[in-house]
Amino acid sequence: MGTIVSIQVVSGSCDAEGAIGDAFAWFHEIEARCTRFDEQSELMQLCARVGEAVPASAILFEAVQFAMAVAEETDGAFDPTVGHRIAARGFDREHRTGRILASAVPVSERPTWRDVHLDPDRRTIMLRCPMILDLGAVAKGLAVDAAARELASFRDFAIDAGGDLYLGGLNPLGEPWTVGIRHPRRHGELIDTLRVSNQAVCTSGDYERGPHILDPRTEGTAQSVASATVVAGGAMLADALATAAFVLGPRDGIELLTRMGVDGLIVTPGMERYETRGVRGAA
Amino acid sequence: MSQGGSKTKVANRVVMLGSAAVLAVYSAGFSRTRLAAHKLEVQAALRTPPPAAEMPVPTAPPSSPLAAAPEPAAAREAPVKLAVVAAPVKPVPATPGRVEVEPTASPEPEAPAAAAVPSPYAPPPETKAEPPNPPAAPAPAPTPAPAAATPAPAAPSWKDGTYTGWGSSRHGDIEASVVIQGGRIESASISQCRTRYSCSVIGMLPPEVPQRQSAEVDYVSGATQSANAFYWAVMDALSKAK
Repeated sequence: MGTIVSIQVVSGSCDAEGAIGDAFAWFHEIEARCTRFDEQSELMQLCARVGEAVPASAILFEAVQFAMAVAEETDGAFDPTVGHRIAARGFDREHRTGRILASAVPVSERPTWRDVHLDPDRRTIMLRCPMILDLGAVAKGLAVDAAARELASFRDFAIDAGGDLYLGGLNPLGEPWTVGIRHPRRHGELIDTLRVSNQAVCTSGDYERGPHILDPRTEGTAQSVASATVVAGGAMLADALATAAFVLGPRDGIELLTRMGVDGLIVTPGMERYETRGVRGAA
Repeated sequence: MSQGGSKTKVANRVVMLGSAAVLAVYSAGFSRTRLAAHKLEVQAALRTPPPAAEMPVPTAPPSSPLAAAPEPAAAREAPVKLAVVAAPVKPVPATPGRVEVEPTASPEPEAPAAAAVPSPYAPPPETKAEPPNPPAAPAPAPTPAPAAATPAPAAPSWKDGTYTGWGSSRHGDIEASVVIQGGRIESASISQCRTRYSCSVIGMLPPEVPQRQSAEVDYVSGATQSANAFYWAVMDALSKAK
């Protein structure tokens, strides 16, 4: 995932240390299984076995199953099967370490989420044609959610995984956590702040890496949104929906979020804002 | 594109799937490091050696529990190469089950979600011993410990007698006493509790030792240190019974 993870537990006892260690461990474990930047990962070994029903771990299966459900729900606006096309565009450098993974998947293939078949009874995944699944968004969110479960007994805590957040309970001042949303254009500034408690907050934007979020439906980069922030009960959900909303554009994006019963804020390149009704009262 | 009603049903399915997925993943767990005693920098050891793959383990961060613990992923001995065996992948440690804590944010009713989730305990082909444990009950019920009726796996046999062992943790030490009879573990108990916190918090663990014929007791959320110390104490005791 190549992100920096920080965890803060508001606690009077020293008991948190073990749980924090366990919470961090989820990030390692989930990344190890879901990264496309290591050909030994469970994901990449799956991608090497086209046409086979491959038994999968709970982590990989649930991540892929969820990703496909969001793809279906958004008619492909969110579609993790575009991984190989990201690679074709040169976005195949693991952005933390700079390692480059050359994709062996021929660019001319055009898989979609419909080419992924899941069998929940056997917990197997079958890729009908060559593809590289990009589980970056889903895996990071899943790790945040698993880490949050690890810390649930502490009630008041914050997890920040490179901008994917889960805020549990109240901050050290006894108030809902304050979450700032980075300004899409002005470095070091915030465009807004939200107050949240027991919610995940995830933002998709064209901040650091330039336009990199592909619109899977058109092959071009998504243009009409500068940043999309989602507030939801879980980070995996919030991250996937933020990515989808980014692609869908402000109006369809807000419509998607409203339909899903989550909240969000979308900012266009022209700095117009579109919000769901409940985003201010998310705490 | 379908109209509002059915679309809303699908939308709720995605939300439910999201929370069900986290529940399934969390319940399945994974082989974790177990902290060795008395050391701030962690010496990791696997509780159950994985069958085929070798798994070098990441070091847990020595984080302050109160302050934010920024943990640059790149700062670890990295990249941690977890050699993952692709098929069949073993997601579940030998003893699944955790003591569930109440989730702080309760999502949609989890009963239907849990029904939709495939059992995370489907046994991998090679395991002949333990049958799968029942999937986690939907919240708020805690994850049930393996049923007492679960037949114990074919156990290595030990020498009869009573053996004690010590396990350490940051909170103090625990002495466990294990009774072997007829080559099998008859009972286990905490003979000395020297931890800062009461050992009642891990009171459910000693009976699991004869049930499972091993030291592989459950994790106890919120009592990680004590559970680990008990585990090491039992391991220590069993090592003397060979």
